[in-house]
Order: sequence, then structure tokens, then C-alpha cells
Amino acid sequence: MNGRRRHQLGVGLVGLVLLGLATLLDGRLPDEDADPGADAFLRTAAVGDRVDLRTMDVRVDAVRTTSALVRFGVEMRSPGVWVVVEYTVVATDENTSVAYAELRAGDRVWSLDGRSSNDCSAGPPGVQVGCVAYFEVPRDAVPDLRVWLARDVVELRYDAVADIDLGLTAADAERGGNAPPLEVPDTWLGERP
Amino acid sequence: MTWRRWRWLVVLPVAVVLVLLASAGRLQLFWLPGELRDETAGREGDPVRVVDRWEDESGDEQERELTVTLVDVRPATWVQGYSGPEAVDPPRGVAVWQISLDFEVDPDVPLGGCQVSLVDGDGREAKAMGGLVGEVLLPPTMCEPENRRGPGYDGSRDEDYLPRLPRYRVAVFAVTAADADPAGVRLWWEPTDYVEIDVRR
Repeated sequence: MNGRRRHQLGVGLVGLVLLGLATLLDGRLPDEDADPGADAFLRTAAVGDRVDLRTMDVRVDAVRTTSALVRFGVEMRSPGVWVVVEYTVVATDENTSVAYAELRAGDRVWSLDGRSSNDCSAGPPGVQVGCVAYFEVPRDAVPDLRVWLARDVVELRYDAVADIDLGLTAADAERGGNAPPLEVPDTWLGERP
Repeated sequence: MTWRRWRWLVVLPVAVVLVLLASAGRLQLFWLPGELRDETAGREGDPVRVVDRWEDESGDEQERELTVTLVDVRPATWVQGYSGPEAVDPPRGVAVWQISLDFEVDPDVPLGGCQVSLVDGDGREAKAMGGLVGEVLLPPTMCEPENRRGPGYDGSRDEDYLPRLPRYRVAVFAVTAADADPAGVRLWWEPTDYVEIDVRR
């Protein structure tokens, strides 16, 4: 085998190796729509912790479960469980609110659709605002639930997001199913009534 | 020679400048048009001559001229409710301020959709936007008298209101933290023009 032939063989071999590597990498790399550099900055915390979201501080104060929720005098019964999250927001520099709220359990997500809702007004900087979000979820999800809270209703890219473990257990799911109807707590401004 | 080995480093500052220029395009396209950055400044008690530009539905630039005077900023004691004056009693940790503004403007100039905020000594900005504080409902912010209106941006007139007079006073209400020390009032319609009036302290 002369030198020229050896060189061609080497080039072919390197080409094959590169193709093999590309095949292995394909599928592991981000696709055209993925933008991992723009991922939200998750701030993990627990109930009672103050979470700094840059434009505001957020703290989950209380979490309750029930099978019947009362809103404006109308009772809403659920075949699953209502999870009611009460939280406090303090804006940092300008009027800000939590417009994005969702519950998560592993890969499952419950957003603000259907009968689930979030009530949080844009309070002025330095003032405590009491907010309430409630979600309807299946009972088996209750022990793993976390709440995500953020500023913008759709745009989480580059923003800070509070990822808070609600600390619920299977007992909370059972208790929620048997609990008496729960009135949705009022929101408040300044200090908790 | 050592410098020959490292001469490629000369390209580095050029590359950095190119990257910054590329990013500047995003700054100009996505950020600057939405920011309040063309300021008309004034002081409480002094009339401020304002030329405010905006883009209409067809994309043409329009402008309005007006004179605005910040009369004062004082703790709000009452607001006009549906059945008469109602006392303002904010909850602990909260203050409510009444911002009085005098306007001198042609009655045919549209003034809908104005926004007002109160900036405190720490640079915190509280938007005046009405809403429930304690038991009292603060009125929404408007730069026209309660019972009079100028034309809409499409030239239409609301017959439910009297025509606007050339001079009038409005009161808007801002909610702040109790420890806020008012330092300035900001008035704007669409970015980028805005008026910043210092509060006499």
C-alpha cells in the first residue's frame, strides 16, 4: 500500500468516526426550538421561606387542602382535591405581582386553567400583598406537590421563578377529601387581617 | 519571538467590540423603545411645558403640547365615593398620597390613557392606579376632569361627558409603603417621552 492510498484510507476512517460521533450526538443536542441559555432561574424553597425573585420577594404562608371550595358564595366540589396556596408578595422597586402560578408533581403540571385560579394584585414597592392561588389536582399528586410562582403570566425565560415544596403528605390528600367546604381566603394589602 | 506567538491576542478586543455592537442591535430594537428615557424635567409649583409624541394606528408620529403643574403631593384624607366623600384609612404599613396636577391644554387634544407614578427618595416607583385600599376604593388615574372629556385618539367624542375646559385640576392617588418619602412625580402616555417633576421637600 503506497503512501497516497494510506492517506486516503486515513481520511475515510476519520470521516467515518466523525459521522459515528455525529449520530451519537444527534438527539442529545438541543433542537431548533430549544434555548437552554434562556431557562428560568429556579429558586427552590419551602413553605415559610422568603424567596428573592429580583423584582419581588415571595413567601408561601399557608397551604390547605379540601374537596369543596367556596368562591363568591358558590360551592365548587372536586372529585380530586383543591389545594389552596396563600402567599405574600413584596415588590422591590416598582409595582409587581405574581401572574404565573402552577403546581408540579414530577413531570405533571397543573396550570391556571379550568377552575384553578390565582388572585394577586400588583402592589407598590415595600408593601406586603397577600395573594391566593387554588388548583384542582388528583389525590395521588398531593404528596409531591411544588408550586412555581413568577412575575410574568407566560414569559419565564431569563426570569427568576420560585419553586416551593408545599410539604404535603398523603394524609393531607385524605384530610382534604373529608374536609368541610373552605372559603377562598381574601387577598389583602399592608398587613394580614 | 514571544510577541509573535501571542499576536493573535490583538484580535480579541476587536472581537469584543463586534460582539457588543451585535448586542446593541437588540438593545435598540427590543429594550429602548419601551423605556421612559426622553425626560422633560420640572419642579413642584412651576409650570412645565411638555411636547409629547406618540405613534397613531397608521404608524404616523403625532404630538401634543400641554403645560402641567404639580400643585402638591399630600397624604390623602378622603376620596369622592359613589355616595359622597369617604375617609381614607390605609392599613398599617401603607400610605396613600393625593397628587394634584394642573393642566393647561387645548380642549381638542386627546389625553386618554395617561399614567402617573410617585417616586420616593430611595428610587422606588409606585404607580397611581386606583383600587381598593382598606375599605376605600381609590379612583382610577385620569388626566381629565371627572365629568369632562376631550376627544378620543380616533377623534370621536363621548356625548355622556361635557367638553373639556382649557384649564383644570385633577387629583390622582398613589399607594406607597408607609416609610416612602415622595421625591418626584412621573407623568407619561407612551414611552419614550415622560415628565419628571421634583417634589419640594
